[in-house]
Amino acid sequence: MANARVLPLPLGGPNAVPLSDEELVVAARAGDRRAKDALIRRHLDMVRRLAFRLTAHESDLEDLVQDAFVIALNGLDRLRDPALFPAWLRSVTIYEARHRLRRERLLRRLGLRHHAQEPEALAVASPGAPPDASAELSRVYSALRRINSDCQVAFVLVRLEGLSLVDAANEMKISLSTVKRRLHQADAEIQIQLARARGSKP
Amino acid sequence: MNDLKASSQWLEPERLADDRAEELIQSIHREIERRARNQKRLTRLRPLLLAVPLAAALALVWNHWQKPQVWVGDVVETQEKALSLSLADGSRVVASEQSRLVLERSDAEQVRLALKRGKAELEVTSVPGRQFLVVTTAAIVRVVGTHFSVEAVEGSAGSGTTVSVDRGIVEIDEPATGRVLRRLTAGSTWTHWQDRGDTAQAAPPPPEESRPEPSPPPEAAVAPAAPMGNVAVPSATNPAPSHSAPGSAAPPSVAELFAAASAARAKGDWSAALSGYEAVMARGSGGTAGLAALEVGRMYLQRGQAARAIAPLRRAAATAPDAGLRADAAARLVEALASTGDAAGCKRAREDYLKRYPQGLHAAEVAGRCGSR
Repeated sequence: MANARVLPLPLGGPNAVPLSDEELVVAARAGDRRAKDALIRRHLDMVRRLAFRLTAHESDLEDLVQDAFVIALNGLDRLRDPALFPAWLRSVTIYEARHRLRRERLLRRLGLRHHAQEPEALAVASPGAPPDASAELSRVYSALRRINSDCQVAFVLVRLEGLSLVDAANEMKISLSTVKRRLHQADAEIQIQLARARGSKP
Repeated sequence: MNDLKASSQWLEPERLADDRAEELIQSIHREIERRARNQKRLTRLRPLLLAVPLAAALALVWNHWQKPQVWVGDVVETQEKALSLSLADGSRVVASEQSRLVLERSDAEQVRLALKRGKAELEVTSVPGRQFLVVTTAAIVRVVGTHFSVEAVEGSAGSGTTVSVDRGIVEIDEPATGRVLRRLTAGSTWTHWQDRGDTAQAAPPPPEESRPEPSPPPEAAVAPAAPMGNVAVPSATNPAPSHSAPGSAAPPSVAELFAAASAARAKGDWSAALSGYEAVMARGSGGTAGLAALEVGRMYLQRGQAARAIAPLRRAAATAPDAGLRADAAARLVEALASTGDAAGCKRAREDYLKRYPQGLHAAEVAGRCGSR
């Protein structure tokens, strides 16, 4: 949350009490463009950060963010509890990110995307990050690119986003045991990749 | 890995400039509106999208049911494509490419389709009391409610016919004599080839029941008490087909008599047909005589002369050539006895039928006759 900010809400004046997500969702469902706008502005940074952590693709980030908002706002009728909009939006973002990661790996496997076309693998940390943190994150993301995309998502949500296993399962719409299995697999793979990167045996 | 959680605070995307953020938000709105417009368009088109496959399905059904209809005297010749046809009774014929068909007769008693060349596949509607015949140079295929195909080949070396039965049973008669050459059941195929000029070429041997029966008839005593006139079959005006040499005085075989009677019936000459069948009953002892008895019984029933139908039907119920025909005869016997008011006889015949054919085709109909059980 180092560079989080609050974008101006279009509803009400400077002294107006901001509407809740629930109220905005109800208005957006009724076709209120301003309510949709408010939801986008309120959650834009959250979605950008999550998308970035999941994919580490700065270049495709805006596409992913746009798709996540479009899908979530067009699918509001399927959202049972309007108060859960943020969680719903996170789930949609995770789903879209997984979809893109899978496609990315498939294209790579088919030889349709070369490593040279990939975004810079090491530039994941913020510009002000300490060198050791920056180096560790770079190593981790380089390793993540070599593992299964579902395992990658589980790893990011639990190890980097700090979600509990239950929350991660809910957001990925999978069972708790599946999250555990994927996380275990990701941890093992990352250890191997990191050991290789350091030049030692895992 | 231990410090990963702490390091993750540095895991942030590059900050978006305000104008870039505004641009992104507006592009999200535009995309939402574009997809909403597409969705509306799709909703408007949905009836059309549903209508297209529906119309295609209807067209297929229409095409299936509205096949060109063939009338008596029509000659159907196909060139490079097969043609589906329907007959007035609902039967369907698929004439393969390079085929020639003539519908020679189509009425309540008989449909006669001549296959001059090529192949025809038939789905025949079952009509009680009506014969369906497909005639080639080598065979007459007789059918009641079945699916089969007939192929006629004419070449410089000779001519051939192949009959394949998918469902039901067909009988194949020899055109010259009318005798039954083969009785084909579902899944079987019969082929006959005759070399050009070789008139003596034999078709496959006829089944036991269709061979000429010995004379004098051992069953003469059970001939109907009051035979009808015009027994002279064959006669000068209605000769029965025969392999006999010209001028030969040999009497017609039972099979020839049966064929002549069938021909007379097909022409509508009721009394000649009846006399012919009764002559077969008088001379024959095997299945052909049983079949003739069934025909006699049916004809009397059709004429409303139930009392006269009883004796031949009793005989047919015992001696007709297959179980289906015997069951048919037994059911008609119940009908005849019910018509004459013989309640006791009717009940006996009914119980006999239900005991012998509890799952018979006529079981429900028979069970409902003769009053309470």
